[in-house]
Amino acid sequence: MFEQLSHFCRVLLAESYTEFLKCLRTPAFATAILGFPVIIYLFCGLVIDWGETIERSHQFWIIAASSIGAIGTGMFGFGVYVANERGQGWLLLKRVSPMPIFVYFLAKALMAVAFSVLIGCIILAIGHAFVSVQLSLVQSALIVVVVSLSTIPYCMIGLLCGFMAGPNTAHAVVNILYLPLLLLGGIVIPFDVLPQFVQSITFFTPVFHSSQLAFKLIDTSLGYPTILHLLALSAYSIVCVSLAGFFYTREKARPFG
Amino acid sequence: MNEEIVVEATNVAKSYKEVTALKDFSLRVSRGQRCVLLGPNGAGKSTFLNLVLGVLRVDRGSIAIFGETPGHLSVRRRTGAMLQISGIPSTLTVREHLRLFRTYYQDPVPTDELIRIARLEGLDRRTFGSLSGGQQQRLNFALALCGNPQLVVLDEPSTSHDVEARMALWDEVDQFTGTERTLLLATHNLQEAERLGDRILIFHDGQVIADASPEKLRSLIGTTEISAQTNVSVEAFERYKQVKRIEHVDSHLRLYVTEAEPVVSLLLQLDPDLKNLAVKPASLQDAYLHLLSPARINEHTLANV
Repeated sequence: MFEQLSHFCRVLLAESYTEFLKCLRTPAFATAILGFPVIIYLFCGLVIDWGETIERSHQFWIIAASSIGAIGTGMFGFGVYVANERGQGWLLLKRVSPMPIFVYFLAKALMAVAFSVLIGCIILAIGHAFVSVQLSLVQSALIVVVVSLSTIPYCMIGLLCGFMAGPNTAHAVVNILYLPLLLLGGIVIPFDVLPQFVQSITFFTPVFHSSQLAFKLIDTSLGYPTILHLLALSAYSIVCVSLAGFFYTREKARPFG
Repeated sequence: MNEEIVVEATNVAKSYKEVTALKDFSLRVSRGQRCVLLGPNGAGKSTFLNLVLGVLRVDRGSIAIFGETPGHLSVRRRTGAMLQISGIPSTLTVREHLRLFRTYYQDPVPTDELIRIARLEGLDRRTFGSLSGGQQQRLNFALALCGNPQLVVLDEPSTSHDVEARMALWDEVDQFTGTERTLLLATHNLQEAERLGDRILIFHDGQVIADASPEKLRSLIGTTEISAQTNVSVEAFERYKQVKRIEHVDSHLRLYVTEAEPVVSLLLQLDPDLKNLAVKPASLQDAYLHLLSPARINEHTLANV
C-alpha cells in the first residue's frame, strides 16, 4: 500500500513538474497566459485614473486581472493542451503506459493552479511596488489562494472543450468562450456598470461566482452567500467533467493518432 | 493459462460503424516470437495492435495478453509500445522525456542505457522539437523500452529514417528483443519484415491470409526468380512443375521456379537471342505481391499457407 502510494506520488510529482516546465518553455503560452493579465492590470489598474474610487479600483483590478489569468490558464493551459496532445497521439501513448491516466489530468490541473499563483503574485507585486494598494499581507495571500483555486472549474470547462472539439478546433472553441466569459462575468466591466439584462446573464457565468469569492476578501462582493458561489462552481465543474468523460469514452472507442 | 503464450486472440471481430476492421480473427503468439504484420492500409493491422494494447475493445471473441485482459495494469507494465504519433511535447529534452517515462515503471531501464540503446548519445540535452524526424523516432523507440518490456509493440518504427538509421534501428530492435522478448511489428517495409520477423502475418480485408515464416512465404512462389526480355511463348513453361508462377508483360518474362537450371536451359533453347537474362532468389516482396494479387485473393485458399 505504502509502496503504491509512494509510486503514485513520484509519478504525480514528475508529471506536474514536466507540465510546468513544458508550459514555461512554450513562448506562445507563457507570453499570452502570463502577459495578458499583467498588461490588463498595468493598463486598467495603474495607467487609468479612476478618480475618487482609485483605492477601490486598485484592489478591484488586482482581483480582476488575477482572475483573467486563472481563467486563461485553466481554459487554454489545460483544455487546449489536452486537445493538442490528444491530436498528436501523446495521450494515447500515456494510456498504453502503466501511468494512471487521471494523474495526467491531475498534473495538468496542478500546473494550471501553479501558473495562477505565479500570475497572482506578479500582479500583487506590481501593485504593491507602484501604487499604494491597501491590502495586508494576509489579504494578498488569501486573494492568491482563492483566485488560484478558482482555476479548477475553468480547467474542467477547458477539459470539456478539449474533448468535445477536434484537436484542431479546440483553440477556436476556447477563444469563442473566453472573451464572452470575461465580458459577461463582471471582471473586465464591473458588475454595476453592466446593463440590467446583461447582469441577469452574468449571474449564471462561472466568472461571476469565482470573482465574487475573491471580492469578498476586500468586502466589495454583492453579498451572496459563499455557499451559493461554491455550489455554482461545483455544478459547473461536475457537468463539464461528466460531459468530458462522455467524450473521452467515445474517443477511446476510436482513438486519434 | 500457459505463461508461454503471450498473445491469444480467439474469433475476434471488430467494426467501426459499417466498416469491418477484423473478421473472426484468431492468433496465438508464443514468448520469443517475432511477428511482423504486413498488409495494405485498412487491412486490420493497426486495429489488431490497438486491441492488444487495450486501446480498443473487441466486439466479439476474446483476446488475452499474458493471460490478462488487454490494458490491465500488469499487462501495461510488461508491454512497451511505439505508436504512430505525430509528436510529443516539443519543449522537453530527450533526457527529460526519458526520466518522466521511467517513473511510470517499477523497474525501469537506466536512462543512460536507454540513450545508448536508441543511439541518442550527444542528443540527450536537445529538445524533441530540435531533433530530426529519424532522431524523434529513436526517442519514441527509447520510450517504448523504458519499462524493460517483455512484449514490444512497434507500429511502423522506421518511418522517417534514412537508410543508415533504419538499418541501425533494426539492429537495435534485434538486439533488444533477443530470443526472450516477444515482438509485434506492423510495417509496410518488406525489408524490415524480412530482417526482424520470424513469423509473417499478411492481413487483407480484416483477415490473416498468410501466416508463415519468411522462408516459407518465399517458397510459396518458388525459390528463384528468372527474368529476361524475350518473346517466347509462355505455354512452353506451363507444363513444368518447377515453374510456380509466370508473368509476361510485353516482352518482359518473369518466372518463379523451384529449380532454376532446367528452366534456364529450356529458355535458352527456345530463344537463344534473349536479352537481360537474370537469375536471383525470390524476395518476400514477390511473395507478398503474389499473395495479395486479386486472382490469388479470389482463390480463398490462403488461410493456412
